[in-house]
Amino acid sequence: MQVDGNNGAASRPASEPCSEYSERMYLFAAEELERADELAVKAHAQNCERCAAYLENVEKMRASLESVPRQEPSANLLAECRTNLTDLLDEADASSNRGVFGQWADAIAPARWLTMHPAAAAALLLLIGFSAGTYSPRWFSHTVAPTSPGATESGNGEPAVNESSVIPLNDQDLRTADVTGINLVSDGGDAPPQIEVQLNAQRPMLVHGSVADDHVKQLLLYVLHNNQRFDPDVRIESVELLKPRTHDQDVRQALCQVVHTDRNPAVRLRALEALSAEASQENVRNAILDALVDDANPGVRIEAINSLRELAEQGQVPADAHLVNVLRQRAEKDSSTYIRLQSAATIEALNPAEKF
Amino acid sequence: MGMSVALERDARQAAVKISDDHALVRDAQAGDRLAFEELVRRYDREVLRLALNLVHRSEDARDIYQESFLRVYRNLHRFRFECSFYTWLYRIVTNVALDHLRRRSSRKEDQAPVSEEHEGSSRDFFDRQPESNAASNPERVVLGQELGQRIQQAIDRLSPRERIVFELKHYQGLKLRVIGEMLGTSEETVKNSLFRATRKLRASLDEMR
Repeated sequence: MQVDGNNGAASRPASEPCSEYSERMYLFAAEELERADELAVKAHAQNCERCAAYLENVEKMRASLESVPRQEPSANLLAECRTNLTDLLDEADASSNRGVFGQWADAIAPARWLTMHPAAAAALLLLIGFSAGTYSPRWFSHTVAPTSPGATESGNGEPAVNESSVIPLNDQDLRTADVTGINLVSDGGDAPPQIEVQLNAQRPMLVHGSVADDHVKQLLLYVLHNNQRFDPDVRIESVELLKPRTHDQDVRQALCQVVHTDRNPAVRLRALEALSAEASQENVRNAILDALVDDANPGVRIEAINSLRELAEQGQVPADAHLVNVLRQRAEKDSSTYIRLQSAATIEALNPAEKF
Repeated sequence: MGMSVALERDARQAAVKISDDHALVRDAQAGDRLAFEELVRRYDREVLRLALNLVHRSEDARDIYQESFLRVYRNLHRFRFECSFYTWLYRIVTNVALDHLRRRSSRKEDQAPVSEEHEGSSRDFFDRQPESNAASNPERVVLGQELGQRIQQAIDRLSPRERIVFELKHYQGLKLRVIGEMLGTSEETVKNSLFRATRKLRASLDEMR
């Protein structure tokens, strides 16, 4: 390695080693020399004033480098980075699950473009609405209506569709099926909205019925219980559709499980919102408390403390020692100021004698 | 004898760690998100510390952290176990940090040319520094802090690559060969970068007289 353009010791500055040893001196300073070379350098420096001065300088520089203030990441910064990374990974997963078509659609119709061209966006929406209104009834009548119960084939040779409101879904169907879309079909009247769930199994399948139907509930619960298999948007849709049925114990349990285990904070947040109507139930209250304590996402924790405060103000939650303890810890330690303040307010709502 | 036993123990521990990492990488490559998150937690504090000491601003360090781990996640299927996961991770982190520093140094206020005429000064900055053991004297403690800030300013004026090499060598204690692997370059190139960084640092500090 050529470390210096100067060759003779006479022409070299006093702070540089002599040319014969320059590379080894330099590597010695960088602690990169083998033991034998190290000894040779030290021996040479004993007889060479210039190299001895150089090594002394190196030592001073090393000591000076110690005085450079080093920055240590705070626990808050690390936690914030981890939370944001989890969200980014969720987005990356969701994006890769959307497939090539979805990514292509994202690329050609980004939200920013629509924002920048409001007139064009409005025209596009009108066109989409018109097309959907004109063609979707034809499409549905084409794919849903079977000619006989069970496996059917449309008259013009289109792929067969199983209509599972007629054929009950079994465990095998559920294990192998992939939910590709959930549609809400409302006739605008008082009747409960109809739900259509498109399943991609060995044969295409369409489950339809109202949310009050048990086979629809069974399918939506399956999505929540096996959340790792389904996209976040399908999971969110399932949570939303089950929201009116939170009085059902199975639904409550599934939503509590979502709060504890779903990887996506948006899904956990929706589950907490859905459960808030049943927060007086013990298992629901525990799930909300767990979210308040353990959830890495501040948005989810905020939803949890909001629910608890509302309950406390309505007198729907007993002020037991565990609850007060958890709230007190949050009031002291939570990284979010809002959660700290709300925790203190919730304790006050539980027990006005408690002072902060 | 004692030292060789300690070295063997360290080598064994390093081998176990690499093997653990590789098992996690295999699980993560198979789609196990928890395995990936475990890998993140093993190294993310070090990554954030490196980023923070290179860019000094929390927001910038956070950007480097996120972009690095996201790239790791997206490219994990390309990891072929030809080096340790740690080396591969740092290769990505240093690339992201380099891009970041280059973007910043393209701004005029961050450019800091080093005057060559001072490089050959016969009596440089470090010659003029008082002897060590500054802690015994409060005045020296203050002087030491001032010196630290001056050196930091001088380090900030190095080119992005020199800065990363200097950080990895002096503060992370890595060998030049390992730094070369991380930066995807030869050990010789790293040596030259470090040499240039040291010289510039001296010259830059000499200007601060």
